[in-house]
Amino acid sequence: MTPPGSVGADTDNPYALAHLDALESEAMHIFREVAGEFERPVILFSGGKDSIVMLHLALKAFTPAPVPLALLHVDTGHNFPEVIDYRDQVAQRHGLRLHVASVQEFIDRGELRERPDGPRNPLQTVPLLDAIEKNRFDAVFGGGRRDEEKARAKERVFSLRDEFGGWDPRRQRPEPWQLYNGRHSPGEHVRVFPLSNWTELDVWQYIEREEIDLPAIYYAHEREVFSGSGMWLTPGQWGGPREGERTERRLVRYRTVGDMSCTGAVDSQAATISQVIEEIAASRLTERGATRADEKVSEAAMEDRKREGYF
Amino acid sequence: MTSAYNLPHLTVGALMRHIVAETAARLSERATGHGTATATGRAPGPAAGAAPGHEPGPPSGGAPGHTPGGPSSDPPDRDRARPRRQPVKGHPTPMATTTAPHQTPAGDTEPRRPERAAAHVPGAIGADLLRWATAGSVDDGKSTLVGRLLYDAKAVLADQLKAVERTSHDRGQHAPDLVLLTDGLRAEREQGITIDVAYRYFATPRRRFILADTPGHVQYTRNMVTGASTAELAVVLVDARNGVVEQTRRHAAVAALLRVPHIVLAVNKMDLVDYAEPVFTAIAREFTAHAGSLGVWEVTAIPISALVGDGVVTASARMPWCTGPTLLDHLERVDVGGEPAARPARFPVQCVIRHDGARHYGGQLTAEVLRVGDRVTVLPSGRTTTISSIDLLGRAVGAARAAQSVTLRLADELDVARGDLIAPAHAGPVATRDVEAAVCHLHDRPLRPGEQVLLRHTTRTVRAVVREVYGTAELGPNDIGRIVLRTAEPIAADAYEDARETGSFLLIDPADGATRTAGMVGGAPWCPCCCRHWCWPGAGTAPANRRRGCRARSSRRWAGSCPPTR
Ligand SMILES: Nc1nc2c(ncn2[C@@H]2O[C@H](COP(=O)(O)OP(=O)(O)OP(=O)(O)O)[C@@H](O)[C@H]2O)c(=O)[nH]1
Ligand SMILES: [Mg+2]
Repeated sequence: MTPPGSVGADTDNPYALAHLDALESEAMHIFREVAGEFERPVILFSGGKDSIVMLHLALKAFTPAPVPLALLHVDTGHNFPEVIDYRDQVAQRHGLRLHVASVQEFIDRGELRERPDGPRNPLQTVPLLDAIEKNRFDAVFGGGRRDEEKARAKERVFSLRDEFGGWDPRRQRPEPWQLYNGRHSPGEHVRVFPLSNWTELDVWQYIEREEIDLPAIYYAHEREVFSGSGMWLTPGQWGGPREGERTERRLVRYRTVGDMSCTGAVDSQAATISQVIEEIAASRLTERGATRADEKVSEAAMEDRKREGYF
Repeated sequence: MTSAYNLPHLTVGALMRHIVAETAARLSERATGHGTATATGRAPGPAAGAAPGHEPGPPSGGAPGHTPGGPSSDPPDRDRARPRRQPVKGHPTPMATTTAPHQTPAGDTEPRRPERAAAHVPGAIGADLLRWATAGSVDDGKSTLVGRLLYDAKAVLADQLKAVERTSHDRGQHAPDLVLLTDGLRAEREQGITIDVAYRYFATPRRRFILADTPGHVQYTRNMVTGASTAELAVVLVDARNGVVEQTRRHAAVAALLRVPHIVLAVNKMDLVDYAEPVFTAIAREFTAHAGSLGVWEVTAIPISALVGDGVVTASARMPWCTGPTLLDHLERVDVGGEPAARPARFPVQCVIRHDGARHYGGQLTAEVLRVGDRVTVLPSGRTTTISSIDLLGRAVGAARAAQSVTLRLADELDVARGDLIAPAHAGPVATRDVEAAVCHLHDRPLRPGEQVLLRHTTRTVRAVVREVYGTAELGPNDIGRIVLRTAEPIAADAYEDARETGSFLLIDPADGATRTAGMVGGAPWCPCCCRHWCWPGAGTAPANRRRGCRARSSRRWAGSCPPTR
């Protein structure tokens, strides 16, 4: 008996699907479960590779009909311009409704206070929960993967959030087989992670196979950068570089895309997708370890943010 | 038989190339017709679950009246070119289990590996995949084992290791504490126990692994059920000092009930018992007897020290008496690629996609093959029609096979909705409102006869009432039992032993939506009332036996703590 979602070989076992096909099929199943059980689902779309793959999967899951989902972007105000352009083009090309929750607006209204030295990533939670509540979204797709981080490794595919958007890792619902329980009370919502079982390498191999277009900053390019928090950061409105930090031109690429103040570039010559795959396969650092300043702060930084309602 | 399999120092990049080379080797092996040797030292028996005399065949082209040829996403000659694997499971006596390391299923006829072909196979990025879970009592070393395995298999990246070293150092430990690689929650780190399943993904040159590290604490059995429900193999750990304890039995019972196909016993902390063979042998014997009483035919027992690393990835010089494979060795070689028992196609409808006036039914095929032109029944209504087209994510195909997500169109305008099941007209399950099932109760609120619940089966949710709970007044948290349900509308379910996907269900609380119970249609492989009797000797091999039922049903409830029977 083959267990549900059993992922098989490309070569050895003709009864199982090739591994990318199996991951894709599992994601389709998850998207369709949500379409069948929820009223107002939305995809968190940042313009990063995981959310781009997620949207690609959603488009496939509902062909030939249009995707019955809206997009929601939490804009920190310090995003890469290339990524914002990409986001807008994608929404337009597929005729999708794009909701933008703006961190800047919350700061301007005085509802959020910026930490003088801190990145804006943790500030995304309030605008996110506000948008979910105002639009009454009941299922929120996130591109989180279990291989990313140790708290994420613990999360269910369907992850219930209480009225405050909070996640209680000690009280997660059991989720045996592929029977996802999406029941929730009014005011609660469910975060759904269709890429739970994907690794970074899987994502890139899938991007290659499906010939998915990405924002150019994922590939090696020359950029004016400076060294901050032990990574290459791009100067910009967000405040860097500070005194004493000098910029230089380097050949870099981004491995993840997030807030400019805390997302670092890595030295890279990988200008094509196959070079990127080779580079990642040989890397001795995890993608977040190599590129995220905010996670170096504390051991349980991610768990704490998730408890409060973060992605 | 190899006694040590030293994983060469490989970067992941080298690993990928290695996998490609392996794949090339396998392909060329297949093309030349060599390599029929399998990882078994025994004469092959019938596949578990298959009727005696059933001749296993490739999944496509077996059904009468159909033109052979697999789904169009596959080269049609792919199956034919492949030498058939012999199943290793299903040895028909319960005592044919292994009690010593040198008698593992891998046996002593190690398959000869062909010289690696140098040819480069473009696009061949995959390796076989094994989903496995840890199990066993609290503190027996599950997370330590996982950390050790990841570490020794070089699957821990530099920054992860650094974080672990930093935390260990802060706590005054001298060596990196490997449990920190999986015990990722604050509460877990504070209490030093695992609370919820951690999923880890790693690969060796031979296989990909998805591993679920489950908690041992009885309070979190529900999370263990989550992790084990999709596993093809469970490694049950036992602390060599304590031997088989109640929680070991409970986890073994859960694994048996979930029908995890392969069970490995890892006798851990051998370093604390001077690596003494008699300690290992006694535990292996006791556990094997217990597993046998649960209907588990085969146990592979391996002595290890997760903390020190003996027997995990590398063989131990301190246990010269152990000539069997290391744990990783076994995980890499255990045969899970065998063909699934022939079972009819099942397509639970997930959603209806309307486009240009046409209705497309979206879903994931859980078994076998469906082809354009097949006569099908829509359950529970029972109406029949024909499949007029199949779309594989935007591409028209002639057939769909197990695990593929597709959309179907039907020739007739029937009322088909989410929750319906499409099955071959001649081989659909019987829709019924009376469901008998083995269950694991997962919630603090007990389950009692007379209670109203929601029953979630495939994509269908129906109201149901608990008619009967066998042998006890109620099922408390983490209890295993057998119940009878009456549903408001019929459901089309298979027996769990025939099909995990269409034989499993959840009971959901109608008030707050909580998942309360995991259910398996049919029965336990053993009698849950007394755990002393085989309900149906030879379950899984002889269909006639399956229906016989237990003649010795006592009124005692079974809560996972019965003494071993033999
Ligand atoms: N001496 C020795 N100690 C071990 C060995 N394996 C694990 N331990 C210790 O046993 C304790 C418990 O180990 P864990 O890995 O957390 O146990 P666990 O089975 O994951 O526990 P839960 O997840 O809470 O059920 C730790 O202090 C380990 O260091 C071993 O092989 N030898
Ligand atoms: Mg543990």
